[in-house]
Amino acid sequence: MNPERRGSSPWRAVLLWAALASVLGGLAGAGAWARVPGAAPRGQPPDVQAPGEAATAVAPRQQARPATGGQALGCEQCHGELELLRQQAGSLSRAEELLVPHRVVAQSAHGAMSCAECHTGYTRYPHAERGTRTATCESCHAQARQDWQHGSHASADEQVGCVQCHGSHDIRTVAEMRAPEGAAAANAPCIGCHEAARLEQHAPHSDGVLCAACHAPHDVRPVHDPESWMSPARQAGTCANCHDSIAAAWRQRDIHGNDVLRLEHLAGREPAADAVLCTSCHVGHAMVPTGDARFAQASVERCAECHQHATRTFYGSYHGKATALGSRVSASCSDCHGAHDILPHTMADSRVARDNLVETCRACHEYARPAFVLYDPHPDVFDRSRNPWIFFSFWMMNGLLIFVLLVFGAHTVLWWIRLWLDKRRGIVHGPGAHGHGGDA
Amino acid sequence: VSSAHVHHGDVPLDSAQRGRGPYIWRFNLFHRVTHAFAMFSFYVLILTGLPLRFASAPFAEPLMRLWGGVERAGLIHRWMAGFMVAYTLVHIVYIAVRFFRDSDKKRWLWGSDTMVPHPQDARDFAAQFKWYFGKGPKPRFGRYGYLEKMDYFGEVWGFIVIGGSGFMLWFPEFFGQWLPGWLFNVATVFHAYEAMIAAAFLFTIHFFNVHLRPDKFPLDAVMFTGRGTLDYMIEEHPGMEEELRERAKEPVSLRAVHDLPAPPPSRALTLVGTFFGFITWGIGLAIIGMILWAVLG
Repeated sequence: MNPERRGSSPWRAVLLWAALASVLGGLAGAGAWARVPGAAPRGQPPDVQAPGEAATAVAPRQQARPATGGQALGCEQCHGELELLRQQAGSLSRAEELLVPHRVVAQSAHGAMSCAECHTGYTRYPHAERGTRTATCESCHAQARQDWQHGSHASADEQVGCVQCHGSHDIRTVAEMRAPEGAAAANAPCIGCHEAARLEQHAPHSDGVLCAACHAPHDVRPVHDPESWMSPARQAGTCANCHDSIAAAWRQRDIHGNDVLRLEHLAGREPAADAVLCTSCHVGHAMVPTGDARFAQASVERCAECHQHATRTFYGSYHGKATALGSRVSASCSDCHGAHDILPHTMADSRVARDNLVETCRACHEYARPAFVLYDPHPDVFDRSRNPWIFFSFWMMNGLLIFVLLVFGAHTVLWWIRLWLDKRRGIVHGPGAHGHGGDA
Repeated sequence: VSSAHVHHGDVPLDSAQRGRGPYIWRFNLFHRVTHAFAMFSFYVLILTGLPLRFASAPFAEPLMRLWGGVERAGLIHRWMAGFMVAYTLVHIVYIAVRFFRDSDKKRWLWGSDTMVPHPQDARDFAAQFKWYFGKGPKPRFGRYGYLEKMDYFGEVWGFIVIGGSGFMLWFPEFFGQWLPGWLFNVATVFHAYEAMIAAAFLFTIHFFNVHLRPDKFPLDAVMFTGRGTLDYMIEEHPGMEEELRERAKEPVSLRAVHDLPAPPPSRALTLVGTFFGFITWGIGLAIIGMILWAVLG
């Protein structure tokens, strides 16, 4: 969003119209409740469905909208005065419900709209006290409404409607919600119900990513729903909205990514439960940065769910032990096998294919040569055919350990028994037991 | 024996202070400091290496946290290895200088004073087992019996195996230039197992031989105070005492300084020796416990 584009956008018209509206409204005075034509940014339902796209250019609210909307001044006369409302409504609590300070509406996404645009049944005063017509959100935001109806918020026992997330008079613009500082406020209603989904401070995505970016803004569904944005078949596409190059590489070059690609073609069929997805390693709400030692520890454990033998032998190596204990520099699975381009070693493009090993090892061991990569990162001391030297050295050292413990264990135990038997027979051992040196 | 020493009832805790007779030097200050360095570096090496070796054991992570993380522990481990190499080199130079300056070189190679293994050690080893079964008298060890020689050459062997494999793993950029990579796997196996053999030997067999035997229990602080009573020498090293009497007939110049009668150890030295003796065998037994916990648990 460059400044020129902002200057030439329809918002300039909005700005002009809004300024004109305020002047007209002021002239019209207290009795004028008429709608100001064309002032509202209509026909653009909030489109959060493509989080990757830049937020629509919106000039700062203070410039775009009048500080006091003249068209609302009439309503403001009553609905801005708590004392007046209390007298009219008869109770303070009811009065507080009815209190809508104009400042709140003016600063909202609908700040340039008149009250009567939504509250269609209240265009004249005196108006009915309640039960009269009020326009619904869908009269403008038809697509959002339709999406919402498909989602689980519409069918929940306690239906979660527009205002639960968007608020009513203080409704925010999409651009505001997408801005880093606005995201926290936009996510707050979600966290209000989904307490467990609260992201830790400084966790990835905690810096201004909307819940809706992953879980869809209106068509919200549980992740086990095949239609959910986070379902196995659709997840990679959702993450690709922001991480497009990683997701594309993963789908094309990674054995797990190819799996998911296949699932997408088979859309509609229940995907395999053990499919490796983005969230298999980058675990949703508990995500930690990839540079963090905890990430390596957890991802090795994830690999272990299918690759048991490889993980067990890895834990037998220095890399595995240091990783398990929280080393940040030691290699974990992805350091050798790749993160988003994992391929079997039999494929020529694989990082761990014989011909690519020197380059792979050189990522850390820059001195690596063809002889160096004969190191076995998955040493299996029980597998003689894999590397007889490792196998024999293991059994040799075990033999030495057992030999030493047996011979000297016997030496020790028999010594103890001898002394114990002698003591029972009254034979005393120890300094001075066999007569004295005599010199002293 | 002065009543100023550390006693349990009538018996000094330090078995080298039990019995009568003048005190005899057994280890000079150099021996004792070298042994203290060896103890200290071995404890640090095993307590930094053990949690890596048994990374999945319950004690591994807390122990690593105590060191300040796995990378800090690795650094301390390497520094300690360097320290061990340093005092070993000093030890070799010391032995060489003492040997070449000594007019009586025979004493270094033969007789009750020698550290060189002789067929007599094998005979003593067999005699020890005969004694266990009541088939013969207890062998009469010299200043250094097969137990001491085994402790010493066991450490030489361990130093070569653990040190050699450790240096390979420390400097892969150097060794990896011409050695095949799987040698690092083999070095890892050798390093881990030889360290385990060393720990198992020192903290069970060595501890029993020198401290925990019923006739020495609970402690022998001769390696800390450097001296023991003549009675202690007669009991533990009768061969040395015999030779001492023999040599006393010869001119004084032939006696080594450390063979002379020593003043009784001060109370402070005895306290320090007893304290460190208990602390170190406590930690040693705890390490054995950790190994068993990791292997069996």
